[in-house]
Amino acid sequence: MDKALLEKIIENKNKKKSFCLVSQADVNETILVKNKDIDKHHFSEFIRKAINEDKLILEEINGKEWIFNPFNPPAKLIIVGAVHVAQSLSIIAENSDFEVIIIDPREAFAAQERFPNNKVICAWPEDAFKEINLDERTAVVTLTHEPNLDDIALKNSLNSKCFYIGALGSKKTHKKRIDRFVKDGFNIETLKRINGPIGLPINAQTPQEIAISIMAEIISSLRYQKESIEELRENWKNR
Amino acid sequence: MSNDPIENALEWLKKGHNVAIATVVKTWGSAPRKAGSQLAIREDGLMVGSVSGGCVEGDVVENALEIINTPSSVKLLQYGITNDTAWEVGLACGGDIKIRIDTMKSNG
Repeated sequence: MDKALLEKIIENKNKKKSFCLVSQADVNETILVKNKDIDKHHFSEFIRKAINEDKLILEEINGKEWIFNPFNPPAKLIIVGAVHVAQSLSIIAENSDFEVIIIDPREAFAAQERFPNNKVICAWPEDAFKEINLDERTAVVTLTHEPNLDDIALKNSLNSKCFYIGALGSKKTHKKRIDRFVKDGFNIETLKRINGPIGLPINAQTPQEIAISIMAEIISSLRYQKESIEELRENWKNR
Repeated sequence: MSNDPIENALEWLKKGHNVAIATVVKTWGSAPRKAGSQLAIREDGLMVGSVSGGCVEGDVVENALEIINTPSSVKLLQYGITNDTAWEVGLACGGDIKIRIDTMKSNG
């Protein structure tokens, strides 16, 4: 490793591209393999595996140990509703290495000064979502309490591969939401993807505490296998 | 200041310090930080990041400082479970980890 390599690492991280550092375990020589160059590399199989599983691989190949250290772009958190909870949530999420994007058409809420470190899009969710790729490493949270804002965002999310969808609101509000969505043709199994009421039940009271409960739920969705997450939620509820 | 080890390591190099980066390259059992976790170390002992829950960082820094003025060197370290009765460095959590240290010089 040297200064030039560190500069290359940071440059590629800033570009939000996947790449992998490859080195022989006991040799001071590390190369950076970009995602687009993987196939040209003779260890492409291991590089691809490391990137796909987002996990460093130490592998013995022909009697020598090799290290494949992958770097992937951060997970994304889309927050609809630039409310008080969003201010706390954006800070915690950023600190947990998420890239945060905040959407709210209401100018008073979507003031950039309220979110100094994050991208704020002052637009209706249907327009804002056009410029966002809701992929498998994206979480969407709706916090506006306004069905005409939250519902559009939730429907977009349900039609995407995003790994987490959460909606603020009481059990009663959530039931009304589910009824509305069923009327609009969504099936009940699909609607189970929405976490509502949002957040792990830690009896959060303040906006800051609610933000922690939401972030904890997002992390549980990211880190648990899909099968165990249902079980986890049941255990939490029945505690 | 950012708490990213790579960003800090680069800043230190630019300011003329010698720097080492420790990377967790393998874990067994309940290791506290996953493989790929990094710790940047400056020649005066300042560190950013982590390779464990704080159990072995002290020893990793000591090992890094031994080679930090020999740029472009590599050192592999391995830590296992702590024996409560002995004064040794180890992991209280019952895991095993393997760590690689890379050194680099300021004008590299």
